[in-house]
Amino acid sequence: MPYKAEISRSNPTAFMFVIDQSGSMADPVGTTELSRAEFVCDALNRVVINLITRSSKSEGVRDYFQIGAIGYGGSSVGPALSGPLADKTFNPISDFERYPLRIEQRDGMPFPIWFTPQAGGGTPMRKAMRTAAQALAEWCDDYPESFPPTLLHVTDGEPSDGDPEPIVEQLKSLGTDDGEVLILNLHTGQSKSGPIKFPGSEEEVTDGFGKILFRMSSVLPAAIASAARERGYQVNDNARGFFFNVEPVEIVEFFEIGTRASSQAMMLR
Amino acid sequence: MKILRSLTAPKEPDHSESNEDFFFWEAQGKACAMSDGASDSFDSRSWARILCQSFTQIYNQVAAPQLDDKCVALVLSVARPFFEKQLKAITTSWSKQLAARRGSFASLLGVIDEPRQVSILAVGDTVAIWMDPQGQLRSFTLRKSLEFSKNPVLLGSESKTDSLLFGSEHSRWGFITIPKVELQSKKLFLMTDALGHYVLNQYEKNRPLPLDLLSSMGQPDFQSWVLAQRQSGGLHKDDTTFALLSVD
Repeated sequence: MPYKAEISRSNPTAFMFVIDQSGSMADPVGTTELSRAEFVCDALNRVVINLITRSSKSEGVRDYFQIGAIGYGGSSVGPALSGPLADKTFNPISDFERYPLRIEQRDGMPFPIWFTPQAGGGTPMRKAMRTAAQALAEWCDDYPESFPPTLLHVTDGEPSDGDPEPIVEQLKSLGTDDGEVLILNLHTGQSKSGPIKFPGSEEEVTDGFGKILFRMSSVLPAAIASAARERGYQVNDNARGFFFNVEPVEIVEFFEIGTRASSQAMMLR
Repeated sequence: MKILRSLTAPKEPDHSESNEDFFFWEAQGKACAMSDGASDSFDSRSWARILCQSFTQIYNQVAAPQLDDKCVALVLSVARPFFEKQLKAITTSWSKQLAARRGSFASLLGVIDEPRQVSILAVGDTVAIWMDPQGQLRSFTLRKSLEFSKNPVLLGSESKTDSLLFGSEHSRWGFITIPKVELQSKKLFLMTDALGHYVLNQYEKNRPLPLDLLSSMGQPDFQSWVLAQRQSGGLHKDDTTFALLSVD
């Protein structure tokens, strides 16, 4: 009965964000003055806010979720967070509530910031996936009965350090008693071939690197597929958690759908 | 109306304070109410409590109650100002402000004991169950275990969600009047969704019903029973609340 474990404070689930911070992420998006890196950070901050507000109760924030964030750019792979949250790979959601870098005001409401734009150098994706795999293996050992963790990867280009697919194949074999680690990939780009969202077969993706990302992506479990359909996506039973060649503005929705896998498990009625 | 049993078990046994179910009645009152706060909303335990208290307060005082569309609006008009006042006192942090802005949601099952009949208002998936004189199990509003898998319509603390309640989804909540002669032993069982699903599923599969067993339990036995059923996979892991009413 995969992807059915109920999420509680004793059996939380985890989200691991793996973020491309290579030099091309500094490119402006369309006619805006914002870079891809800025779009990504805005989406990351929004998804953390969303997870915190879903877990906030009158007595405080319940630790239903843990969040990890790895950035890769240049030749390095490391935490995509700074401050106290950078000391550990995964932090409980209550620590995110406690340690934003700053709190801005947007539309008259608080908007905390944890992620700030980073961009420079090459694209060591393979190395990042290896780092993520090690962290996720440890997490699964620590929480064997939990809803399995979800890895959400955002990139705008091809790896500069070799093929990440073999690493991800190993990563896919990790999991808890409730199922394998879920891997969702988003590629942001400006190719004229048009965007592809939740493809059901590799043939739908013509780009060579896109095919690799397709194979690196998990088949959507029922809860994510349901969340995607509610938002109007055509999703078949074999659909993968994969967006290819989409505008950066789509990242917010991708994260929103990707973190809904746990909703059913939380019995969020 | 006599409350013969009122039992509850939290979703997380180590966190009984976060049980978001609520059952409320007053001694000598003729109304009572049960509510199940939605986990994915802010302070839904308080919202569930205030809904129950509002329903009971209103219908303890009405000589000849009439349950109709207006009664839901009436309950909300009493409950929302109370809840808003409470929110102002506790939403001190940025996270609570944002969470509160999303609104709070809960079911409501309200029961009024009248001389010859029992009137029930049900919004959401908290159900009333009874045995009819022929020994058949009856329930309201959900009648089959499969119906619990659908997202229920719930009462929201913010009026912006009222369109869901009073719009096309109206068929998913309602009222019923049951003549007391239709209630075997003049007993009525109220329960939140996890237990309601369990009881209806047992009935549909011709398995033994737990109603007599639950009716004889105290709180510690109930918690043990709930934990055992969860472990065996028969009962969903959720806050679980049961009440037995006598309307003789």
